[in-house]
Amino acid sequence: MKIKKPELLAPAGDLEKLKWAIAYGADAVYIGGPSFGLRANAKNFTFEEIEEGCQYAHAKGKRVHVTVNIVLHNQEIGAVKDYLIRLEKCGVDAIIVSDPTIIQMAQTYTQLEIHLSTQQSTLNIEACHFWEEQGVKRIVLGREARKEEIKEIIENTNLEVECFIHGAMCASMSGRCVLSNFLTARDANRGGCSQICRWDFDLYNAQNKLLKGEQPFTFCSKDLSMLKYLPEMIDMGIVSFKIEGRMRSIYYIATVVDVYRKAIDAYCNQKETYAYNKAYENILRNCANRDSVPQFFGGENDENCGYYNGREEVSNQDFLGIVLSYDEKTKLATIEQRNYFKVGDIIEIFGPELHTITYQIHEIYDKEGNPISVVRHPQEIVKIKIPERIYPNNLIRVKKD
Amino acid sequence: MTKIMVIPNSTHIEDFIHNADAFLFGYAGMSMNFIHTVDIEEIKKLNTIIKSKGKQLFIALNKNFHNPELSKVKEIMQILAEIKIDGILYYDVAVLQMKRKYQINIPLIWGAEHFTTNYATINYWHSFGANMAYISGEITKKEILEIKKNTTIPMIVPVFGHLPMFVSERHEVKNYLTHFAIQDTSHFYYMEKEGKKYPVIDNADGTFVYSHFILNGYQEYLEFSKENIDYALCNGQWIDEDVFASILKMFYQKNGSDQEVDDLLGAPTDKGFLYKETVYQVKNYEN
Repeated sequence: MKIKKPELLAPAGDLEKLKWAIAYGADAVYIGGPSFGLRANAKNFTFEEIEEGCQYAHAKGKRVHVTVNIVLHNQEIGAVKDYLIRLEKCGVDAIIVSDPTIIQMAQTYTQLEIHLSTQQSTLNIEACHFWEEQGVKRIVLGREARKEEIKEIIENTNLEVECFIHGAMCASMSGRCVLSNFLTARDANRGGCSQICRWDFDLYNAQNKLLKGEQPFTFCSKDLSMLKYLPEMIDMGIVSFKIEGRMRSIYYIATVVDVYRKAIDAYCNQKETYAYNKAYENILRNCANRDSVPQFFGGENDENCGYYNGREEVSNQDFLGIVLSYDEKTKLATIEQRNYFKVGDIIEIFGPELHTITYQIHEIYDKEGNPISVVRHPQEIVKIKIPERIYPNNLIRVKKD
Repeated sequence: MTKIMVIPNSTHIEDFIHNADAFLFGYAGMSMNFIHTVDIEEIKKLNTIIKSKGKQLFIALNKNFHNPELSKVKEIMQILAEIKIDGILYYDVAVLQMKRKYQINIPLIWGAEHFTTNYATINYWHSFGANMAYISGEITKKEILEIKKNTTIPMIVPVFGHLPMFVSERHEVKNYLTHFAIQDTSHFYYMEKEGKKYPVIDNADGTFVYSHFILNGYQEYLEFSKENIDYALCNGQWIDEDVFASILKMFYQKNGSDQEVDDLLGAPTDKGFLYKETVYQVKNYEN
């Protein structure tokens, strides 16, 4: 039996990432414009790039949502109107908003579809009713929402409900943390969050006794991964599944989108025969730099959600290269290297056109066609013999157990 | 005249009730950022004492509520309306929605602590029935005065005490202690970085963190008074009660100075964000 597929909503920090996200199966992307978004450190889009991104997405039947989710200060109020009008002219499908002044302006001066940001930390029906009455079409619920309340909200409102399914988690309730303002003078609610929650601190009790474990005290949370709950979330009627990470790499976005695309399709196309794919879990784990858990959805809120092992920056170490072209006659794929690999490595090649191909590398050639045994230079162009047809922009990762 | 609103450390307010105009308490289990919270019976007693002195009582219901809590919140709002406290400070729009839906006759203070940063959004909430606004501790004096000029509802401006920085449903300290099997049963902690100690609460409602410094806005309070700012908020949490009572007297009687406040505290004070703009502000928008 086929069931209605939810939207798979991917982050895109720039135009290139937007194209990769769409190529790997996103139904929609969310991006930051030149102002008023919460990722001032991301490259973000110019208006021209937003327009180009919208044209590119729309040509493929996809949607573009733009974050306009800062908390306004007085001096910014005057610039909002023109900004929103400009976004509408670019062709964006929706804006993601937390400050209601922006909602009001969008409704007064544009026809933009309004999605309420998770920054509002909305967790209950009464709040949802309020926003519904104000013309909000979709609500991104607070990450603390339990499955029972998500279900109740879907059943008792006409709002579209969007939930995060993968990525980093705030330690705080969204919008209720200004550690960044106080410790680094960077405004957390205006795009400057410096992630103080991932810093280490010494912890003392009220009697000034140092409370010290094997690792220092931190608020650092594990990431979110809802892969195991995907069927339940689809059956509940959640309209949009959101992946966090506008500052993540192309490899990360392609990998995560690819896994969730395939899992969603597998469940929605053939619910009866769907089985949880442990290999997907491993792929997601290997491309991230922190462990992931389902967090609040199942009601858990204990020490298993905390990340106490120190930062391990292993992200993207698995990512070996990008396929630039493939010659069907010689079976040689031209690859741009991203991490060290060598003859004998077992690799996986994946992409939107493929089921994942697993292959042990036997032959590598340099640009001049000379056989080599290792590829150690960043962005080095080499050729690898691959017996099966692969496609430009397929990605290669090292195979792990 | 600017009224002095106080968040006390306990319900023992006798020592400074004469040096305050209004009190703000958190409701037990329904509020965030309060060391000492109160239930209905305590509120009734407080209301009698406070009203007998001609002062005001406000209660915070400033959690982000989950569905199962809504009926209880409604019930509390109705009781608070019946006993005629002076207003409810809320964060979650569910409180405003329930006031409208069930026609509960009680004034509301929009107190979404880090979102109350501009006059347009204050006016927005006023149009939906908010009667007062609790202003963010992360904006400048100039911005506060701009808000005053461009709004009509009473404003509450923090001028003294530790400032709230972080609210989480997670039990950050308890989880850490459990993970590393460290025995400690207190709810009050400090976390330290580079010599700065940040007060932390981890209780049934989650984890709350406060600024390492005590905001000393005595001089600014005098200026706010001249500009008819409605309420100046003095937060006594984490501060010795005797010291706080002396400082409150100074504010109420307007007979002190920044230095005298500092001397009484003997602890780090700061002007917070009153003169400090945060960076990463919106880039200049150009057509």
